[in-house]
Amino acid sequence: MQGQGQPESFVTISGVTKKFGDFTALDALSFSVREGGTLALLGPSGCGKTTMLRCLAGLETPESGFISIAGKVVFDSAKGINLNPEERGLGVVFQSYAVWPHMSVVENVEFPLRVRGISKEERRARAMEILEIVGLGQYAQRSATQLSGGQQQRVALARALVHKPALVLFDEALSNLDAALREHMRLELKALQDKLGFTALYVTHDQGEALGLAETIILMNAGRIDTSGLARDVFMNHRTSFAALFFGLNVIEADKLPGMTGTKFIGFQREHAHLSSVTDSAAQNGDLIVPGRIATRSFQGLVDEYAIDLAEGVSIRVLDGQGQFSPGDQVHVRIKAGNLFRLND
Amino acid sequence: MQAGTQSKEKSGWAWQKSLPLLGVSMGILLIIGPFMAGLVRSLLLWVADDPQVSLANYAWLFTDRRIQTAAINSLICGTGAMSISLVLGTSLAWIVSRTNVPGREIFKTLNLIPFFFSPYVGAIGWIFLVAPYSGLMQTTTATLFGGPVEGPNIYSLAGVIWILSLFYTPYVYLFVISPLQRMDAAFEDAARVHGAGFWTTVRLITLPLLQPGLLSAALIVFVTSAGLFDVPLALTATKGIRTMPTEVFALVRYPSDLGRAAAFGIFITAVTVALTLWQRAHLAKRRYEIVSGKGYKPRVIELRRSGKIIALTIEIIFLLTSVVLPVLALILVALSPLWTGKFNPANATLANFNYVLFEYSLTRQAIMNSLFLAVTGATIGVMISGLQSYYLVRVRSVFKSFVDALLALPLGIPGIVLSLFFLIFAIRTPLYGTLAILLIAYIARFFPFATRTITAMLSAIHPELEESARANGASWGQTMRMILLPLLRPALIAAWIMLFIIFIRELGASILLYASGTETISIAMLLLSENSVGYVAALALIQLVLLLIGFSLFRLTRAPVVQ
Amino acid sequence: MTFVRHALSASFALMLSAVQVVAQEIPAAKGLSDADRSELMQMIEAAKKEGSLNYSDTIIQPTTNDVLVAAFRTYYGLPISFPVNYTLLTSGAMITRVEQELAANRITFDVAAIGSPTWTFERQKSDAFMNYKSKQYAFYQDAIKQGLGIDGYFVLNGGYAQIPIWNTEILDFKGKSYKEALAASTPGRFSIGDVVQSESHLTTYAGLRQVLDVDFFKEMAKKKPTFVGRSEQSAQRILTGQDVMAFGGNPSRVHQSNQKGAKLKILYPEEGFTFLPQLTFILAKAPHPNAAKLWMDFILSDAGQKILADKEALISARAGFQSPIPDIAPNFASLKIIKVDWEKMSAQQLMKYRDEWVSIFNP
Repeated sequence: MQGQGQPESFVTISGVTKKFGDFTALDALSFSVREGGTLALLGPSGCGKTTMLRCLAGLETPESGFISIAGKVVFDSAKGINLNPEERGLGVVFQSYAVWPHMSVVENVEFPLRVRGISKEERRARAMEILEIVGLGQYAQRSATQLSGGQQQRVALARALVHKPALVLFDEALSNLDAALREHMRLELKALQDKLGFTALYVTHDQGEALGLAETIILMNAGRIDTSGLARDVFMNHRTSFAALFFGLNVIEADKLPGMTGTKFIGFQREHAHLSSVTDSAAQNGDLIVPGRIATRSFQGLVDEYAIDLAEGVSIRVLDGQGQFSPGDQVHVRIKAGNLFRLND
Repeated sequence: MQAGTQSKEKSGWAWQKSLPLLGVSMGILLIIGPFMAGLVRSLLLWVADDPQVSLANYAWLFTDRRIQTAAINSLICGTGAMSISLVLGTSLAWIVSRTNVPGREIFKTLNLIPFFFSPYVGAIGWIFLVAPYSGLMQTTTATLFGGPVEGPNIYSLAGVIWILSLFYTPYVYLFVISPLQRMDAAFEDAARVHGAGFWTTVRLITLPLLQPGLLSAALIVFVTSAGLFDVPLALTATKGIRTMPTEVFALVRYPSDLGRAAAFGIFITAVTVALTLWQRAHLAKRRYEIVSGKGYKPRVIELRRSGKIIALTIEIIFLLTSVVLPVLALILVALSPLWTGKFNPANATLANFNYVLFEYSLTRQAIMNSLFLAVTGATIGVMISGLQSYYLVRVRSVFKSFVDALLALPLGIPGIVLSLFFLIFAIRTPLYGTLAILLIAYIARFFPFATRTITAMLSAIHPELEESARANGASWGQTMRMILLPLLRPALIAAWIMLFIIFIRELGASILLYASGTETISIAMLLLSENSVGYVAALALIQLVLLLIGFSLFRLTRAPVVQ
Repeated sequence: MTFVRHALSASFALMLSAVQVVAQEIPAAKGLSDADRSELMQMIEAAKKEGSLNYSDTIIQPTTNDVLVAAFRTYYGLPISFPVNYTLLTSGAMITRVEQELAANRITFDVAAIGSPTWTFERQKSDAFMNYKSKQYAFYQDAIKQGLGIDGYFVLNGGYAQIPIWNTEILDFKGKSYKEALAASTPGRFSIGDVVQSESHLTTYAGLRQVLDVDFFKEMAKKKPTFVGRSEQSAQRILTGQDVMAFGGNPSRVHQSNQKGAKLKILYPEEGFTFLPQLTFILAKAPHPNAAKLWMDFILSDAGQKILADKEALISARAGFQSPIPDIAPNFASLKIIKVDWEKMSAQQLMKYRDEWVSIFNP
């Protein structure tokens, strides 16, 4: 099992299975992260991504599998190795931030150094240093409960980084923040990572967060990897109906439409459907053209979103800026051949 | 390296897993051990010095007319006290939480005081207040209007119900006040706008929403009142009115029949356990979410002048009858050299206090014993309960709901029954006649109170607070010491003080287990009643001072009494 | 302020007595032969090594105990630090405790005294008591002849009765008999001893049934008495006027209340009364046997008997003893005691009386 990862692999996860009673949360999951790399575990709630993070951190014990971090085996069911969380030397930013309410900001941040037996002066200096970096220098003596959500998140971040861990885990790190703050923190995180050079693993259900933060993405479904690869590839080239649906594409069973063969499902972006009331003259060979009926129309700003019934039980959503259709209208929907994904499942 | 890490890792996991399990298994042992002793003893019958397995004790139990009378009387006490305290407790909680009665914040605290007082002392106080022809109320009336005045008969089941209701009303109050305070006003508003009047809303909306709290309170008041030994002992024993706990006591006394007593105890335990389990199952079926999550204020009702007067009257009568009057009576009796039913200020003396505190070695010993039991018992109890709470909230286990139900059982077992089992358990061991057996019985009877308090707070602490400490390099021990214990401190202190208070006033579990040298304050009070009511009153007041200190400390922690 | 004064004067008195003890020969050794004296001194030394004494009684009030203990220490020259632990119990509770301790084989009491002769005779037969030939038994031979002790095992340290008492400020009663006392009792406002709760009340009832028939008690039951297990409680109810008559009244309670200014009276009824001997014994497995023997000798001595008569109104059966309070505790020889052969009366017979009482009063 050991060494299954690639040569430059920094974090190796191999065949990790975790069950809760009858429910399989992780099903022989394997992946790796290179040193200094960033990886996002993406997926809807219940897909196992948080369980994977907790297994990495040592907060859950898998039934079987192998995990090594920075060359150190932290879990190996075959050899009966299972290091305690504190022995794995990680930094973790929790979804709830888990900032301890009975300690001040600086006490929170210096905690990892305190339990590592570092002298009071040194740990205070290092904590202040990292607090300056995250922009909380002037709040050091405040009680942690007096901070806003964004500030608490930075405390959690500072605490996760202060002992210079090789790997930092982020559990839905940005999802509790409002949109503007999230964007700001995302940029800040990227800058911090460039500066401090840690390896990062993000767990998120938000595709924007994953795309913005990570160079590689693993899309998870029911405890398994659905799609993985470079962020752009995963987002642009959809291989499975799960991935297509997750990223908001329309997915149709091919045999419900005329002229589609060789695949079970096809998918396309909502923006890539072109609507017209008459047969579209711009149609080219290979394009998908289907008649349909407008079910609803809702105003979305620059565009309108239409729900269109194509056939019995087949409905798609389309974004269109023309604004000329009303519910009940018969339309033709055209998708260019290049925008159609033939899905593998 | 690898081996070293492994062994360290194993010891870490070992503590994390074994400590909570230790707390749980101690709790289970404390319940199962004495119960099994009682069960075995109840099935044994001595025929010419040979023990034989027999159901004779149970056969006797179900045919003896006196036992039936006692059971019916206890049923009456339990039902009566439950009904009155449900009405009174809910009314008081409603008055202070939902109306603009003047002084509501002060009343909120004052209403809790009887919860910390000893019902036994309350009963004694009430004897001095209304004993036929000689109570303070009677003698005062006689002085003012002439003639001997008989007054209400306190030595009756009605008297027992009255005292129990006064002292168990705060239980109901506690169970109801927090849902009343947190209840979203929209529920009631919706009823009002759809045409329901005030009382209809109360009947159809408010009370049904309070049902889980009311049901829990009703059960605990019923079981505790039916099983309380102290008050019937003080009030109805002299009239030959049998109750279930006094009958258990009588069975243990010479010529004792521990087999029959054990059978009775097992029967009582079976009934209360069945009731408790029924209530759990009933509550588990439906969950009321009365907090909508949005910020809101519960509806506060603007009382009219007449409403304010009625509300204030209820409050003042409750506090007068449960606290002020009995304590006043105790003070007057304690200050009198010879109690004759009237207080003569010219003769007032501190001699009774002097005697109890300085001259009589037994009371000093008893105060020391009670303090020792309360401090040690509360400390050990909180430690066990803390571990149990950790198991119930943090440890993943398929047995959890079973363990949870099992650990709550002592709440329903009357103290005198549990101490009977411990007596049977310990009589042939070196534990008999030691403070240790009292300590064990106290903890066994009352640890669920502490477990409940701590579990409530632990459930509110996000597990990520501990996990982040682990992930950031703290061992389990460090996490407990530096993160969880400081966060849990208010609940630990609250649980400690609650156990302290309960142990200071305990009588039902002590009465069968004390021996020469292990008397407690409540036992000393009983022994002093051989002697002079002045001494009893003085010692009762000393006990009240200790309890009041406990109560004040409790308020300082600002901890909720129940979740 | 009073506390401080008391505490100071008490400690001065104790210091003074300690000084006296060192200076003089101990009272217990007065007039003893050299052999007896050295035997006594050996016993005292052994008692000091044992370190303490635990005794229990169903009558002696803690204040009386304080006087007794102080006199006891002086009598034998024991240091004031020598602890005497006293437990006051009801007779029922004491029997329960002793029975439990015997069953558990864990004796905590050294000496005990109780007014339940049937039980005491039975326990003596089952070897629960230590055989100790105290020289004091010589003064109790008359009592032993009347069935109030067994030489070398137990004898009464005093006796009392549970007889009618009333408050002269509330009831003007001049009667001489049980029947008159019942006639003077207002229904619902009198108490009787609770035979179920108290062993001594059962004994009293068993005795009374030799001279009073069942009908008397049935009539009593009709008048709705209150059942009281403890003599203090019945006296308290008389004092406050809650009851007008207590049939289970106790001379010592009358004595003590009257000393505090009450005006209670007691009746030794002309039908006769059950004399309750406080039979005192050393338990066979007493943890402090030598201290126990010293206590036995002391409590039966003239000095011990004086304190018990004076403080507890106990009737002394010691040959030649003169009561200091003959109104409340008359001299032994002058009393009309109901003759009961306690040694012959079995526990089963006693239980029959108990069941009879229960069936009459049905509590």
